[in-house]
Amino acid sequence: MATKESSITNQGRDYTVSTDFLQRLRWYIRLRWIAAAAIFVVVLICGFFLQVITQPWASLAVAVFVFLFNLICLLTTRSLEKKREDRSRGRWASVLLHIQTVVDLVTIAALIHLNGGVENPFAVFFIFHVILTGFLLEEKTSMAYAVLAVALYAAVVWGEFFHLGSLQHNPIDFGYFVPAAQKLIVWDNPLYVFAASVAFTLAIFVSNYMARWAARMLHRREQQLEKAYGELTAAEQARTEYIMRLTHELRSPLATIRNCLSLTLEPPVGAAEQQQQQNQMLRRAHKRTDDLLALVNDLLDLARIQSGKCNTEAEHVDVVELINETCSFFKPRIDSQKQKMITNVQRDLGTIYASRELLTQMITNLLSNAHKYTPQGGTIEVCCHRKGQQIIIQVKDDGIGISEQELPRIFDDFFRGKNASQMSTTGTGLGMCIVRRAVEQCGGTIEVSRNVPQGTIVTLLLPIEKPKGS
Amino acid sequence: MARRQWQILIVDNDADYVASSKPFLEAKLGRVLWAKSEQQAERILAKGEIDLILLEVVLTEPDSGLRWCRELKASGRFDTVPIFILTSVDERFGLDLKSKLNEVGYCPAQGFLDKSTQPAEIAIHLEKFLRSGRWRFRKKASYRYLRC
Repeated sequence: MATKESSITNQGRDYTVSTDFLQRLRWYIRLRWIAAAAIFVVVLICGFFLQVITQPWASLAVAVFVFLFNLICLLTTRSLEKKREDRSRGRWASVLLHIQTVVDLVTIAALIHLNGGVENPFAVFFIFHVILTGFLLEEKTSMAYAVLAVALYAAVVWGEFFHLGSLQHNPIDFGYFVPAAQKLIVWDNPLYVFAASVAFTLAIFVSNYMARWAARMLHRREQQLEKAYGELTAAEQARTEYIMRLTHELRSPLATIRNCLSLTLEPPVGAAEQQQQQNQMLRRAHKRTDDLLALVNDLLDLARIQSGKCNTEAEHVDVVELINETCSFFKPRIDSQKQKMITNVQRDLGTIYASRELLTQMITNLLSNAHKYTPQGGTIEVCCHRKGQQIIIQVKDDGIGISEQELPRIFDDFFRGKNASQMSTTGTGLGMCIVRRAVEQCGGTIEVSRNVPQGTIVTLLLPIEKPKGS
Repeated sequence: MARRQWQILIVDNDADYVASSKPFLEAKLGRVLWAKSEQQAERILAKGEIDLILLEVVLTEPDSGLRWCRELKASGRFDTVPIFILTSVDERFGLDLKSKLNEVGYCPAQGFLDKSTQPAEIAIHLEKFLRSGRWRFRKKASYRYLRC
């Protein structure tokens, strides 16, 4: 894949001027060697042996010029290849390409003029350049070259027809093949010259259009592939990070517990410190076992929700009853921290068609977070009301909150805000992720915002009826 | 001859792990310092003579440790201090970090240590490594002197 360091940006096409671009120039040069050799051979055979060409020496001079010009192009390209990959190299490569194209077109026009003008069938060689420029250059420039090709051809054939300046017709002498009476002389026939010009112009513009269209398609395809590649890379990165985090979270507590037990069984310190250290280590081991258990439970919940098993158990659930039950379950924990819980629930809410397990999971996780990240004496408020065909459940707290920068990452797996990590060492970072997945399974949406002056507001918007297609 | 006392710096945000392995490392190696974050580690490194860094891969981000290791070595600061990567990430979970650590430029650390290795064993290996003094002649990245 080409590097992106220096490039010529053209109407949505980004031609990378790098090694890749210089390789195209080399290819252009290789083609010119073949063309120069072919001109040389044709001039030798047709000019000196068959004597079809009336200006063999001038044509030979053109062939020599093409050789020399190509040598200069080759040397310049080589020196560009040795240069550092930057914008100046890109600019020079682009200039070289333009010079080569102009010189080539003028050379073909000269050869056509020297060898029969409108009678020369090799005029179609202009088309090759028009196709090449359609692929290599921006659309407007390529069109300009098509116009230049048409102008040069017209200048030759009409110049010869009208004897403009010192432009004389150089006929092709087919005497070797065709009897003198049947010589092909059409250059002074206005109808033929006009028809040839129109056919040539059409051929040039249609070829140019087709080349540009093919280039556009290729570029679009390339962009699609690049986008897909970017997405794959991002997915792979996300997978790697997830595995790293998961492995770390699962194995670290076990390593710690094992170390604590080792320290208790075979302490490397003196007997006086032993008892104190043992107790401390056992407390740490106990805490880490709890952490690990919470993590395994959260992972199992997440896996169950993601598998979609809970959603098949949907039923008509009385929201008020469910909220009251969950709040009463949390009451002792909230009271122990001297926190205040306010429930503000609309009475005649009715039922909601969803999985009871998922709804309980959502409210439990939100209340657990609010309780964990609200300091002693803080307030937790649970609001619930109906709006159209939706039930809106809000859990507000005046706790530590989350920073504006961290807000977009709140639903990421294993994500814990800076404030949260500082306030509490426990927490798996999966709670909000589970809530979001559960809400999505119920066909609802979730919003998280900052409470004023401090704290967090989590809003769940759940459809009353089963969403269509779920 | 008195045994040399080494100064080891553990960079890990898991206080429990550090507390539970510190006594084993201290018994074998000498003084063990603890940094919760990369910034704290840099402050400790700037202050004193650290002989070896034990660095956890997963800090604030899943690859913070690796990134910090690369930055530290690229900057040329403390490039005489060998770094051992300490991690729970394992090929059994589908990510072969051990092989990746051998890739040139992936992580310019001196070695890799599995976090589930007994700390007493880690201490023995680190002591052996520090006594050999090999890293002194190879300041720039040289990989894997030790695997537990």
